Amino acid sequence: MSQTGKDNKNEQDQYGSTSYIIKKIFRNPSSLGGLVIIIGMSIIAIISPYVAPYHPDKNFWDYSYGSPNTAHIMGTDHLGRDVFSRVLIGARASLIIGIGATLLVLLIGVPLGAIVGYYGGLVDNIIMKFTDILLTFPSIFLLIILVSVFSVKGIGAVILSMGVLGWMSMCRVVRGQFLSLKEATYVKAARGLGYSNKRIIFRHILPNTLSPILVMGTLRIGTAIMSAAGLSFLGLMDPSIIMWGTMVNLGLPYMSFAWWISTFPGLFIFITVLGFNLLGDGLRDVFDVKRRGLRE
Amino acid sequence: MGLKSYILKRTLLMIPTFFALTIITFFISRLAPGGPLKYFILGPESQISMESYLILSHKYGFDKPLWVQYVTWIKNIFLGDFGTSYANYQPVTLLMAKRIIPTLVLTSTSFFLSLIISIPLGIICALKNNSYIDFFARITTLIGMSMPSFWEGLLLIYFFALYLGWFPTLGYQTITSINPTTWESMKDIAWHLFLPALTLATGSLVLVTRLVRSTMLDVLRQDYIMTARAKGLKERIVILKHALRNVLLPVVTIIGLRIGFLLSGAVIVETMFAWPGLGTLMIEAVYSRDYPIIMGITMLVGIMVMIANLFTDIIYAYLDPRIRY
Repeated sequence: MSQTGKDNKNEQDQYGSTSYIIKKIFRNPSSLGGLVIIIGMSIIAIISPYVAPYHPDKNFWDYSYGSPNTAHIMGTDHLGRDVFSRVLIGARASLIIGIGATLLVLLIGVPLGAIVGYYGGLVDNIIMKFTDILLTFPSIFLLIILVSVFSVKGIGAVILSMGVLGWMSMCRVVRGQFLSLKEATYVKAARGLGYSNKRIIFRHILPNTLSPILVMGTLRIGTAIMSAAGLSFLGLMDPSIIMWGTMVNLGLPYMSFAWWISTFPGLFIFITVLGFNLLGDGLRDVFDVKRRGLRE
Repeated sequence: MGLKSYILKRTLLMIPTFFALTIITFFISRLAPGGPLKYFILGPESQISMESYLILSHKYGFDKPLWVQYVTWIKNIFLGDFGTSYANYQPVTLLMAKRIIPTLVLTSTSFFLSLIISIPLGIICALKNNSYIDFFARITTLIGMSMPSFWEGLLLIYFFALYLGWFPTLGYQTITSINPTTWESMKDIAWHLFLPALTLATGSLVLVTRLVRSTMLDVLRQDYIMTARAKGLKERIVILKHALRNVLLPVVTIIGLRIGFLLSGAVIVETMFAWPGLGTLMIEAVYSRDYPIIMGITMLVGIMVMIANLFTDIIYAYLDPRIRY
């Protein structure tokens, strides 16, 4: 894949101007749809404590297992708590974990991938063997063990565990980009001008690897939200944190007569993950030089 | 290098991977503050005295240096002994042996189910690129990718089990007659298997469909396909004999990885459907902090994934001679 832009006639248009990229993102139905969902969910996460109709832990004992009506549009759960309010608040933990875990993955994976890809040699060999081995194992088992050793299974513990176990694929992608880009003409030119390695890595090569990092990062947020939902569904997170997965799990015993307790939180997980998948897919289309070349 | 020496080399490569797995599993579980046993026995509401704790600690060998514990643990694994459960004093090997068959039944069914649907579907989508079928399949795969498996399982249970009543909501088998024949019990398990297997298969199904579609689109643009068509071969032969083999190569690679994902997904799906497999055993053990079981299952699953990867690489080398030479 030519990230150097040498095949493109209007190089300035594609790499120089952010507005061109933004226009493309808005014109792609997939990334546009994804953006709408993500922005909507973020707004919900931010304003939910102020707009939720009830306090999420308030028990309506005379209306537990209540079916959806005008007062409780998503019904109430087995403890008489308003499902709608809890679903709105639940957006917070999901987004924080998704974005936090992804930031940690980027923080570990990108510099490590950049360094081993740029310098190569023995360290590169060792790190790559190590990521190979780690990638072989089903990560959820390691994640479950790691989370289980924390005594407080809060949001921080989950973000930390996901970051520690999730940086490998990011590292590999960045390394691959650096391996091919370090031979590019402009990098050789920069080296010829006597620029330091640090400057070449961060100012010259890294900006050109941003598009795959951005695509992977977006998809990764969706994956992290899904894993967090899985962990909380399995009951491995602190039950006092309002999480969509926990809510689905709590509703399971009552699904034959109170379907709303589990269904609505699950729907929100689905919509949120769908948003990040749509955006990731759309960004891939927008950035993909090879495919764009074919279409135009 | 022939295929045989490739297999030998590839098998030897499993040794460092195996030891890395043991080290990761062992040391992560020792990260628990105060060691694994302390957490199990000396929990917040523990009634046990310090003396009894020390006796137990000695019995399980926690008073020895860490590396001695590690070496003992590895040595026992090679002898087929994964330790003794803290919770019910049964050998972990025995507990896992009881649970491995349901997990294998579930994951292998999902595996084949996803392949027999996704490969033809992906090919059809690529051949009818940008048609309604293709569009519909793309939307469906995107939805399938974004659905948490437990929520999908929930919807399937609502519709097929509670509403239509075609399948049971959960469990592995029903005990109706005292001595069911093999055929009867197989039929019963298959009846219970359908919903969980479908749930577990979805993730791999949509991924492989997307992969087959995009690879097929790439392959169809290649010169050798044009040559084959120019020779006047029937389209069916061009697709099945010339294109398919090249499409299958990346599919084989991803399938190896999917086996690990299937085993991971099995943890959630088994919990959802109360399937008595390794996944539910793992979760029970995590709740009670029964580290010998947690470590044993992680090792077992790791070994299964390693073997699956070995087979994948061998199949790959068989399909693509370039790997071997």
